[in-house]
This record gives sequence, C-alpha cells and structure tokens, in this order.
Amino acid sequence: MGETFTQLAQEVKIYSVSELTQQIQQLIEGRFDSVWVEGEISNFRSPISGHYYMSIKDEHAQIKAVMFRGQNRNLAFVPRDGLKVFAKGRISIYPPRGEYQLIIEYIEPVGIGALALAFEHLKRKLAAQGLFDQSIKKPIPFLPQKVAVITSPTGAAIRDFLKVIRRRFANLEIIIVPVRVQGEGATEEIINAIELVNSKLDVDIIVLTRGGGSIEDLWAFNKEELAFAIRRSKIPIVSAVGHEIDWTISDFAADLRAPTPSAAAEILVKEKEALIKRLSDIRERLVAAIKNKTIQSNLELNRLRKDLKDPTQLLQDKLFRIDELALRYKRAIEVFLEKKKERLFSLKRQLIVCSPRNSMDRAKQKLEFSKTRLAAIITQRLSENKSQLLRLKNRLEDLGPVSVLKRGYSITMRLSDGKVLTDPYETEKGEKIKILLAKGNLISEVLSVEKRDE
Amino acid sequence: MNEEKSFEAAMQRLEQIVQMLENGNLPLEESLKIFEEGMKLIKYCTAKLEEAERKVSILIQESGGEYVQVPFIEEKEQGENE
Repeated sequence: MGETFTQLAQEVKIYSVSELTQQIQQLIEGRFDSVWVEGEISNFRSPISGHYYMSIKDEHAQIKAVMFRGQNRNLAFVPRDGLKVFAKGRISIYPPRGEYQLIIEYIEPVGIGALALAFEHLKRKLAAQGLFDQSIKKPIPFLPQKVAVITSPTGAAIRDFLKVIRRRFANLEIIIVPVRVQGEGATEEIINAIELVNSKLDVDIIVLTRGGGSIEDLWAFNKEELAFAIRRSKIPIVSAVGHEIDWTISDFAADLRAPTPSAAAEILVKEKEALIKRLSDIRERLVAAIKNKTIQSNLELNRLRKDLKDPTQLLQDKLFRIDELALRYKRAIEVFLEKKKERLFSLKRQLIVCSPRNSMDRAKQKLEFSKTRLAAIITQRLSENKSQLLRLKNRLEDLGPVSVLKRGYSITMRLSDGKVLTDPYETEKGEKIKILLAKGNLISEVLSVEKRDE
Repeated sequence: MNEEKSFEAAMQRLEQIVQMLENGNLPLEESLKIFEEGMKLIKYCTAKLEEAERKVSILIQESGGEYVQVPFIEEKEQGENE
C-alpha cells in the first residue's frame, strides 16, 4: 500500500493520525452499520453502569463488543461466557484508543432462531404501541364465580387447571370453550373464542391457557392479532401459556399472566380462599371475644354481687367499729372514773386525814383533858381557897366586930338608915337606934346626948 | 364492583366488630348486639363466597350453529405430558 502512495510521487498525502482515523471510521462505520455476527461470548462483564461488555470470538479472531443498558434491558436472557450467540449491531471506531468494537443492538443465544427473533420483534413493536401497558390492564374481578376457560379440552392445561379447582374445593362455575391451541388456524380459533365468550357468555373472567411446549408449539399465542383480540375483550383475561419460563405475546397482552395453568386456577381461588380463611378467623375471634366477654361479665357480675353484699358487710364493719369504739369508750370512761374515784378516794383519805372532826376530836380530847385538868385545878384551888377562906374567915372573925362584940363591945347604928354611929351628935334625943351585941340586938331610944371630955 | 364494595365493607365492619369485642370495653348488652351483627355479616359474606355453582361444562356448537353447554367429562386416558 505504501508503494502505491510512493508511486503517486510528489503529491504525497500525509495524514495526521486523527485524519487517518477519521477516514477509517467513515469507511468502516459506513460499511458495517448493521451486521449480524455469530460467535462465543468471552470476558463478559456488567459493571455498575448496566452496560454489557464482552468479546465475541471464534477459533481465530475476536471482536470487542458492548451492549448499552437501554438495549440490554429487554433481553430475554443474561449473556455469559461460553454462550454461543447471534449478535446484531454496528461497528464503531473509538479514535482515542484506535480500537473498534461492535455496538450490539440485539443478541440472542444461537438455536432460538427466527421464531424467537420474530417474537422479540413483535414484542417490541406491540410494547411500543402501548399494548402491554400496565395502565390499560383490567382489574381481575373480585371473587370470580363464573369462568370461561379457552383451551384444548383434551390438553394437560385443562387437567391441571381442574385439578387445582377440585383440590381447593372451589365452587366455581367453569365453562370450557374448546379450541385448538396449536397448528394452522389455532390463533383464529382462539380469537373467535374470545369474541364468542364476550358476546354469549356471562362470565367474570376468561382464562386463556395451554400446557408447555416448544416455541413452535406455543406459536399460536405469539400472534399480533391475538394480542389485539385480547385487548379488545371486555372481560378480563388471564393468560397462562406454557411453563413458567415461557413467555408469549398473549401473556404480555393479557390483563394478568399466570406462569402455568395450575397457577391460573390458584389465582382464581386464592382470593376466595383467603377470604374464607379471613372469615373463619373472624368468626373464631368473634366467638372467642364474646365468650370472653360473657366470662368477664359473669366475673364482673359476681364481683358486683359481692360489692352489692358489701353494704351489710360495711354496716357490720361499722357496727363492729362502733362496738369497738363503744367498748373502748366505756373502758376509757371506766378508767377515767376509776382514776377520778381513786383521786376522790385519795382526796377523801386526805380529807379524812385533814378532817376538822379529827382536830375537833383532838380539841375535844384536849378540851376534855383541859376540863378535867381545870376541874382538878379548880377543885384544888377551891379547896385551897376554901381552906384559905376558912383561915381568913377565922382570922377575919378574929379581927371582926363579932369577936369584939364577944368581948363586950357593941355597935350602934341609926335604925333609920343603919349608919354606924361613932359620934353622939349624929343622933338626937328620941331617935331610935339599934345596938348590936354579940348575941343579939337591942332596939332603943336615945334619952340624952352627952359629950365626953377627953 | 358494587358487590365487592359491599362485601369489603362487610369484612371491614367485621374486623371492626372483632376489634371492639376483643378490646372488651363494651358493655355486655352492646357486645351481644354487635356480636349478633357480626354473625349476620359472616353469614352474608359466607353466602357471597359460596353462592357460585360448582360445575364444569363445555361449550359446544350444535349442527344448527347454536352453542350449548354440556357437562364436561374429562378424558382420563389423555396423553399430553405434564
């Protein structure tokens, strides 16, 4: 190649790396803007970005490849090392590295073939038309009672379906709408059945089902017309086609996809079973609660009855209390009285001790004593006095006129007034006088008054 | 839907009744009253759940073109693999 350029002589074109790369890019990317390549995946990795990076290789060569997240999201399988694949994409040059790689738009494992491709194609197309949108799906009716099952009357699907219904004792009315589920014209029969059910049967739900099989076997359910027929149905449709891993266009288009025919039956009876269970739970709880309440009420009643009895009890208690108080009161009073009594007694004793009678007695005694003594003294005195008196009398008598009279003297006194006369002039002639003698008196008349010369 | 509403309303009332009863704060008379109501609701809901007829039939087109439902008898010897 260099030779060619040299031969072009003077006007040698010298590229910059960028220019050259740009040229290569234009050339290659223009030429391989949509290619299919078959090979084995190696060095597969899926970093956090979500893009798939891998190499696709055969015995002699390999090519770097990337599948961006936007594309790989809809893949029906996850690529892995060693897997043989068909990859569709474009070659892209990456100038900063001088590398080229395959930008994969679609990838599928080798062996699935044209049907799978067609399926993927249709699926994407219908999805783009919004046929699979969750928002347009009809709700599955609450407690479906009447069910139309569009399926082969001789297939495994209806057997499995009915087995579950029987096992669950579900009281469902099931109307089988027989169709061919594979082969020529099967799709049309299924579509007709959907329309027939919608127009003739009063059912709550349609189950569209078929047992497992190859992709070819299931193909009747991967038709665009069926998808639209399903969406046209006024009655909600559950699609259960093939095994759990099989997905059909019917599954995507239906209002609900059940993984298997059995699962479809489960879905129909589950809610009802749950409700029956819930109801029986509620019934049990209800009965238990009312039983509890009754027991409680009885207990309460008994308690109340006891409480009701209480007033008498209370009264009795009060009475006891009163009794007790009375007793205590009485005792207290008794004690009080006792004390008072004691005090009184002691006072009395004291009083008795201090009693005036005592002192009176004593005084009396003393008086008596004094009296006796006085009497003795007086008697003594008296006798002393008596004897003294006697002595004095004797002496007096000795000294008195009597003894003088005895000795012959006499006493003259005027008779009229008893005046003892010592002077004869105290009388007059003719006056009567009394003359006291020792042994008697003389009444005489003054005959004459004579003065004696001394 | 209306049926579902009334059924759900009945279920909700039932739950409410059970809770009220389980709380045990209601007077006995009231308890017995709502218990009775609960039993009625259970009867109603059970009837709703069991009102469907249990039968399996198959839709067949007669020669005149009319469709009829006939009881479905399973073919026991049937061959498709499970």
